[in-house]
Amino acid sequence: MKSYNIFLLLGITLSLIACIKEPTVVTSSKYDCTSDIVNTHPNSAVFDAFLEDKIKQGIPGMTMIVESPAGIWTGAAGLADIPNNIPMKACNKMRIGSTTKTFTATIILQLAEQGILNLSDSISQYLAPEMVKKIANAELATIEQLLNHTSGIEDYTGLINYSIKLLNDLNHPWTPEEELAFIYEEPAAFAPGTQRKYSNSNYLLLGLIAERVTGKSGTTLFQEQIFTPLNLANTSFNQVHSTPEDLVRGYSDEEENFVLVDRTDFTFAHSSMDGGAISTVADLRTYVQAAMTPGRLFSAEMIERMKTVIPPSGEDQTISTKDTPLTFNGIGLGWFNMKTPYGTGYGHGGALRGYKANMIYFPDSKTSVCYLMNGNNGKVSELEKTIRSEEIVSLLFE
Amino acid sequence: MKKTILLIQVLFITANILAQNSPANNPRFSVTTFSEQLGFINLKNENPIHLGGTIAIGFAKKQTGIYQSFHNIEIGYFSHETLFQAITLAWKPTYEWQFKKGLHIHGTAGVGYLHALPKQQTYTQDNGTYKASNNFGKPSATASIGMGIGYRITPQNNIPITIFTRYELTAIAPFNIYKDIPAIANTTLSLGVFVSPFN
Repeated sequence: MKSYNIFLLLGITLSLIACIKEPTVVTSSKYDCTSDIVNTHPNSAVFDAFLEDKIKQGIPGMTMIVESPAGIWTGAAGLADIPNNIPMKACNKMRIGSTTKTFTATIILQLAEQGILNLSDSISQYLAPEMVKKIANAELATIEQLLNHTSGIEDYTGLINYSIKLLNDLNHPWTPEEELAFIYEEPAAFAPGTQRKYSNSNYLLLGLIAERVTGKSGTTLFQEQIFTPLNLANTSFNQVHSTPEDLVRGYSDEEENFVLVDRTDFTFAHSSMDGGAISTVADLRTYVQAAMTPGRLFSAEMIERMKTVIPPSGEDQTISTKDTPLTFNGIGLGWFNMKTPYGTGYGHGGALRGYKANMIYFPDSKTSVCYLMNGNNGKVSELEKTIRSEEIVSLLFE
Repeated sequence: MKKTILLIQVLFITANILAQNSPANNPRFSVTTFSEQLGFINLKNENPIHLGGTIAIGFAKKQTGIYQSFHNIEIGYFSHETLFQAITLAWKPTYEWQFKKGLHIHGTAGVGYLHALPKQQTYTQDNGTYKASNNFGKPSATASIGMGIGYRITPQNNIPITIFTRYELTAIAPFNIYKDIPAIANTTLSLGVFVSPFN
């Protein structure tokens, strides 16, 4: 009886393992791309070794770019597609998650410079009245408070009902209205302007405001105002849910032990202006430099305003209390402010299941660094956290 | 794996003991099929249907008038649309109130074991690079409560066959498939049949 039970269990388990969905077979041409960047940075070998080391530690694939007055370098390591054993290239595209929020902030700040809206306006002036009634703080919060996360509007991604809906239907193509519906009737986190807490809902609302005042879709706004003027040929944002053919596969360490599963097609935030864009490190470097250069996307005055952190009257939950070389020092108008011994960095990171992104510009040293990873969550996420808060500073400046 | 096998052994042994101690030692079998969703009760279900089913053997424990209780040992399987599939094993005491014309209502409360396997290929590092690997899944404990209603479709003198429907809430912990959520509730709406062939 005892051995019969064991064989029964083994038989059932092996039958279920046999039911696992087989990955699609593709060739390397699926991810073909070319880069016109010639590596001139004197530390190119160090950067290459850094990437290789990260792959050995457990990141599935990674691309990176560094540019400083000393030169430029871009590189890649690991795999773009694990089952098909296709190497990652520096020009490969990945999801950039919340880095998209800086695109949304750019649209809003440009509209402010054009006089179409004022940053001090209440958001209730620009949103549908029925939506304003259902969202706590929407009648009081200003556009500026959405940009710097002091609105107190609850983050829909932190709500259990959202997580459950997401888990039940991981391929659901979300609309901003559906995502915002999770915070309807939810209490505000705090009164506007009194604290700072990162909330994805803020950027869904900013996206809706931009669309309402211009009469254009987020896709069109990003394309016309950012991607085309800066010639970001490998950057895209598609509000009609779809996965581009040449997007590298994204892997998630769900079990927190470097056991990865493919999460490329899971649809969290894939079509919303809080996290839906796709890009390359080269395009992100062009964008971050343009955003910090007067006359490219904004005026010098707007750039200063964008970079400045205005502390809320109470607690700022985005400030890091850890003693690391790079510490978060608050959020300006869409841009994180990061303190380092080598000057302040401005940028934004992003994370989706299977992807991680980061983009930072250090104006004092005219140095930019961007990296993309096709892995996230669990131990992979811990590796990225160490890169971001500890290793990137020494890699760039020491 | 050893712990898993041990737990299953314990459940089988418990079933045997219950069967031997049962005052009316004639087992009742049940087969169900259900749609399942993660989360608490949500009658306006807009989610995809995640299908599953169970087979159970029940031993009458006590019968007093219209009231009857059973020990049920249930083995089941369900398949989430994209994320995972699971085999379950549970001990579910069931309390049944039988009314006229073959109608009954029942309530269950149970504990058990769930073994979840990801539906997608998993990859682990081998010599510095990721490669496809076998994944034998992860164990979880379950606790459930449910309410159901049934109707005996065969006449009194024949083998009792009862169709029933049940709504059940199951807590799963730890929830190893999607690490953001340490434990999760899971609701199932079942349609099934009880058969007592030796009655």
